[in-house]
Amino acid sequence: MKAFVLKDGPFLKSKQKVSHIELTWLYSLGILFLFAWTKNGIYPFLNHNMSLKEMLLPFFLLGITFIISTITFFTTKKIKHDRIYLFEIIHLIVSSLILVLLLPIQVPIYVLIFGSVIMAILECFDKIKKYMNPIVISILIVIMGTSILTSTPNIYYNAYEQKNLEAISMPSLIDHNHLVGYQQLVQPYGKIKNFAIGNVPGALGATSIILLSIIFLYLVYKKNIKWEITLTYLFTIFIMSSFIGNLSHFGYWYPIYQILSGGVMFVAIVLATDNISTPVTPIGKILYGLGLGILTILFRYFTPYYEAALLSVLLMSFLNSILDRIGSIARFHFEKSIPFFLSLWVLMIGISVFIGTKY
Amino acid sequence: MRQDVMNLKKMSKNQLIDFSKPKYVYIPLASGKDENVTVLVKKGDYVKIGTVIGKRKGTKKIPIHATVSGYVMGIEKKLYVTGQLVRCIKIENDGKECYLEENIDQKKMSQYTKEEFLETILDTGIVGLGGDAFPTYIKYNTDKKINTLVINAVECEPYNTSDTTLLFEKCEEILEAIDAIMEINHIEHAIIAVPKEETELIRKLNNFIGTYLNIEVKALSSSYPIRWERKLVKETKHVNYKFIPLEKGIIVNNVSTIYAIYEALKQKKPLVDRIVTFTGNGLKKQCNVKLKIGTLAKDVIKKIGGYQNVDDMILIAGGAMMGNALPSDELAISPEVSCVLVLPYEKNKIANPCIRCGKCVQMCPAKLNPVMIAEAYQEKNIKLLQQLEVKRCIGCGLCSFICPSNRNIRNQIKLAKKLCEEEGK
Repeated sequence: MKAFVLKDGPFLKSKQKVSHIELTWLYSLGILFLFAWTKNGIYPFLNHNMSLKEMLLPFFLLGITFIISTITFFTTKKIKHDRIYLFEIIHLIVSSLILVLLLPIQVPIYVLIFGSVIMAILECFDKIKKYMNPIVISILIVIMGTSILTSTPNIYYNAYEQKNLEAISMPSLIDHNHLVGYQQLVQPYGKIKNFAIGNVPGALGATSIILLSIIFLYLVYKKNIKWEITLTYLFTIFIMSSFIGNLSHFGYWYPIYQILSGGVMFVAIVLATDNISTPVTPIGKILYGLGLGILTILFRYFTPYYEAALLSVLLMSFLNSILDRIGSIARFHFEKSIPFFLSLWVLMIGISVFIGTKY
Repeated sequence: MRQDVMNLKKMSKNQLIDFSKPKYVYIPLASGKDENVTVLVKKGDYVKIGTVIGKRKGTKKIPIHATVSGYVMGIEKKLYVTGQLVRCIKIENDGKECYLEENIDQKKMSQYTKEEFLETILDTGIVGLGGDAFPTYIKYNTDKKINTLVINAVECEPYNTSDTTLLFEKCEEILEAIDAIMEINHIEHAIIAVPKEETELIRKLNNFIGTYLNIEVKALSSSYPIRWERKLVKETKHVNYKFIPLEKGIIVNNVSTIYAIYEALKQKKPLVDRIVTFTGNGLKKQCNVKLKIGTLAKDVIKKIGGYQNVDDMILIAGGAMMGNALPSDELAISPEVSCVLVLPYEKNKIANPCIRCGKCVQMCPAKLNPVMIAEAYQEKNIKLLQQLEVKRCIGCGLCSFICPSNRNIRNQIKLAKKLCEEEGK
């Protein structure tokens, strides 16, 4: 009698692996990094604004981040006696890239090391990751904990921008007082199209909206992004700032500016779609995006923090499980999700009208 | 997945071999998980094809017939489609093919009354041949108006081709049977759902369908699991139902079941044979085989050329997605078996931790949240499992198929479902 191997089905498997997903992200962010290097390294170098050493600064920052985070990650895993998977190493490279892309070019090295250590430690704890994105936490801790944005003048400026742009105080660069006009918000950087191209100061990878959009489309095509979150988030900010802009008698540029500035696009595509800390159900993802948009507007207008989008991601990820539970039940009983949608829409409109008229 | 599936189907497509005279048959005394069967013969009895050798007890009373003529050798345990060993009646085939009733009633099929129709499909032991072996007479035994008969020939399991092969070979007979069933049950409309990739089959059906004005051929995408009754009804009739399609006046039958009904009405022939796909890279020859219920898979495989020279292999009864791996090839073919698949064994890849990409949620045809169910099962959170409606899982395996982390989520959901059922009891 011939014996056969016993195995649980199904006996067919899709070819996609976690490492493929991570590699897709790595390629996408790699392109963003090359843009950041061109903008902050090659271009100023060719215009004789910086030395060769300064030109290679983005690579130096990335190298430091990766080395520090790898050492910390392996050490923490060893202490925890956890197994290390191949995809985790690729994920660590991706996380290091995101961390560098989110920080200013002039970031002090000690801040970068501090951020890398925090991020790598958090990456080792699956249960924590479900409720907070390690990159978001580490960025918020280093930025808010060290006050580098307010204590270091022109921290977002590369050598070329330092020479050619007028010194602009931080509050107007990533302005939290958004009810000022075109002259204060856009004119210092030329036209609104400069925001789309990325020809403005900002975090290393967060400035080129066109490139970010191309990367978003590529990730959607590869089915490796929770695109519903990105679109709902951007839609919410656009609708709310359109209300605010209209009530405050600004032009059409205002909602566009709100989306193009402050790293919103980067957050919407890269951080808000983080797999682990975001919902998996369609309704959960839409509610998450709506909540994220409302919180970003709230933080922008009612708090002195510049990192409105990052703070929103952090707060919304705490609701991850609840949103998924709502989303799971709504797959069979859609009517049960209607009160949540209604509440968020009322909040959206109410907050926008309040800001536009009374604030 | 669709292109891959079509390539896998090409292996066995349109190759039909007859293996109607096995030396022995082992007729399983079981139906699904139900082994509650009364044995009506004893060792040494001579039986003809169609002799009732056992009867299922309970509400789903269906006779079990001898599928060959010859002497009863006794009861032996053989492998069943579920992977369990079940009691089987062993009959030595005398090769004479003697039928108990030799075409007694030559009545025209459409002359049957509804009562006669029900009686015939009960007496001939017709059950669903799509995989569940549900007694067909129960489906038709209703006072509710039946508007539509949906004939399932989409066969989305990646390697299976038995239904489409049968439909291609017996196109006229199947159309005749559908027409008769419609007339007897006063059904207005019938839809034959076929895979849209089967262009030759569609052409052939369209050639014959001219005189059957109320029968429609609908070409559907063979995306898995289109064969699932709920999805098939949605695709063909654009309606949803709560428990069974009859709520909306719809009856769904597999195309092999329709052919079995044809033989029952036309010749009073009981359910004694069926077409089974034997395929996979582990076999030297891939084909469809017409065989007697109770034939051992190993006899068929020997007949069609045997195994490839591979050290480790998996033998699967059912299909690549929903089938069960068996420890040996001593599988007694029952009405539920539509495919025997033999694949070279590949070691399980290491399962990575869940990255919550949500691909399983997107793929789940039952709209479940496999990620959350797996988490709730780990925590043994029965209340949450019930809220997540784990009972709706149809076990299609798409969640495990798509998971980039190589996790066998279907198994976890199966266990979660079992946990909830036990709690319910």
